Amino acid sequence: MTDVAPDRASERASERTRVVPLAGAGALAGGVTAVVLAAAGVLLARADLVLLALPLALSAAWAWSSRPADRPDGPATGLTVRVAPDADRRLVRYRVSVDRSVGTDAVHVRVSVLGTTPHDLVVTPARAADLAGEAPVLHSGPQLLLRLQHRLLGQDAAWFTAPARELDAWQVVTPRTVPVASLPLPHRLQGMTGNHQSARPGDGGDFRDVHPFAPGDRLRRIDWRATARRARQTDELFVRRTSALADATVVLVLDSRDDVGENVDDWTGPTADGQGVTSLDLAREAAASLATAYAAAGDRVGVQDLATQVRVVQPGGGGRHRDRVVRAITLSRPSGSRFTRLRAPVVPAGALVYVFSTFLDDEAPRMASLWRAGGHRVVAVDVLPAPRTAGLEPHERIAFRVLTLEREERMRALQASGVELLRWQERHGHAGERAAALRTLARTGRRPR
Amino acid sequence: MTGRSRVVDGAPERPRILPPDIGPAFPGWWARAGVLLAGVGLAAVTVHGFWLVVGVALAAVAALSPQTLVAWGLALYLGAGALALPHDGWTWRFTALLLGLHVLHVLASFSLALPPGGRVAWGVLAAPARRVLVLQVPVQAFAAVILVTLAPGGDGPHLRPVALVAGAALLAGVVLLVWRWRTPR
Repeated sequence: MTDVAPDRASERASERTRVVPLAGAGALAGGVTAVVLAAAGVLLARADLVLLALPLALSAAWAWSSRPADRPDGPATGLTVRVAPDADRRLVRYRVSVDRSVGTDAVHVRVSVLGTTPHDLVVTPARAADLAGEAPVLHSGPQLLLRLQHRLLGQDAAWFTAPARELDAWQVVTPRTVPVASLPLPHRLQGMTGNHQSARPGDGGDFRDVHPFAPGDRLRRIDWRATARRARQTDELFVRRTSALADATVVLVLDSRDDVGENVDDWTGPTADGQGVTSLDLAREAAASLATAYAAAGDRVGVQDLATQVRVVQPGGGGRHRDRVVRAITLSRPSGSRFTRLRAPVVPAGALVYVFSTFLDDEAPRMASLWRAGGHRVVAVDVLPAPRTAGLEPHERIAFRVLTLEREERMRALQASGVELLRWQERHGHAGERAAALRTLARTGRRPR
Repeated sequence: MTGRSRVVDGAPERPRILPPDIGPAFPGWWARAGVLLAGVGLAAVTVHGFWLVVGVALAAVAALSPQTLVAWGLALYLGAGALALPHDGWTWRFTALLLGLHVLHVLASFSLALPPGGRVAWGVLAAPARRVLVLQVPVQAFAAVILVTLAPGGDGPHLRPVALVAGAALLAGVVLLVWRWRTPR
């Protein structure tokens, strides 16, 4: 399960809705029944019939006279939601408050939690003033926590108000970040400063080579032993050169066009209920972890999104920029857009490109191949959760099998084109699998081009 | 409230997503079941034989489809059935009918408004039950006075003025009610 941290406490209030009493058919029907019974009693000279009509007439009249005034400046009702994360950050607690419901028999609240089927709750006005609940934090990213709607039921339900406008309470859940010890680097480092050794000679790095003295070399770098050993002429000098330091430019490319869970049966479902860990949960966790690790190493990190141009953050360094990158990653949400790009988004020269995708279609692999063909080092991060196929119909199993085979073929083609693969979710019983894969990538990545 | 995740058969069970806690509650369809019970019970008290079957059928329709307002048609049917009751003054049958029609009216009104699939807090019933009590006590007492003191034997020529006055007062009350309804408040 993804351990995530919801945003800080927040409060949302609905627009205030004027209480407009609508006629309930019950009051009218009760009144008509009373009149008919009374008239029959009068015509047939039966006092018992008239007496039977009496409580109906009194009840209808009492209920109807209790309705609020239907004036433009009449009373208004509203709904307020306060949301706060629980101490252990696995729950979100909320309190719903309906005001101005005094004088009614009941308040009808329709609430949908985390996109599940709406529940109709009918409570007393006192309870409606403070309706508390909690919801589990199942996913990271932006999510609809509550969808609320309410109406007031008058005395004996003889009148009621029109349903107020729906109030949506959203929450943004920051993804968990896991420590990443081994960081793959691009083939070519950029910049004049940083924490990584560049192939270029300069200051700050380890010993590089011994080289004939050239204009610009500092005198204190002259290696007299090497000069005595190697010099063939008296004016020939040799210097010890060190490597320069440089930083890496890393671009994290999210494929947020879809979001699939671990239950294959839910892949076509619209709600978060029962989906388990989703691909975007893993993508957010992976991207946020790598962004934090690279930023801590002094590298420049940027974000691209294959689904939209809105969540683009150009590469940069520093703590504030890291927060901006993590925020952009956190706000990624499934867009459902299916368009084909003519060319891959532009990334800085020499950048290391991570592509976080399920690779269930051709778009993300095509982009990865284009970047690889452009000379970038590309790591394809597979964020498809381990699928659970329980409950699938036979034809669905066949479809899933075909989909899996196509995906494997895509991954093989990616590897053949030089793109490196990294599976983010560790398999059950294979703890440390991801760290080992990252170590391998970090070791093998920087080869001369 | 929301349960924590557990592991069943190797696969983690997701925490359940539940609505806010409203305390002790009953399903909304119980209002419809109440209409059915009240209708069948009153029909059993009031009519017999074929007419009982008709009453039960009306109660079933009223419970299944409150929007048809058949519940008030059933009230009229039961009122008509009261004409066939023995005219021996204030009886338990009449008392039950007087109470039952009122309860049927309230239950039918709520069955129109309550979502059948929803949850209704028990506290919602407190105010309607209190009002039924407040209305029933004087009405039952008044009915007892009318039927026992003034007309111990049931109908008769001497009861006509009383019935006329009561009916006229009721009609006047309804006219006033309609007038109040039509007049902006």
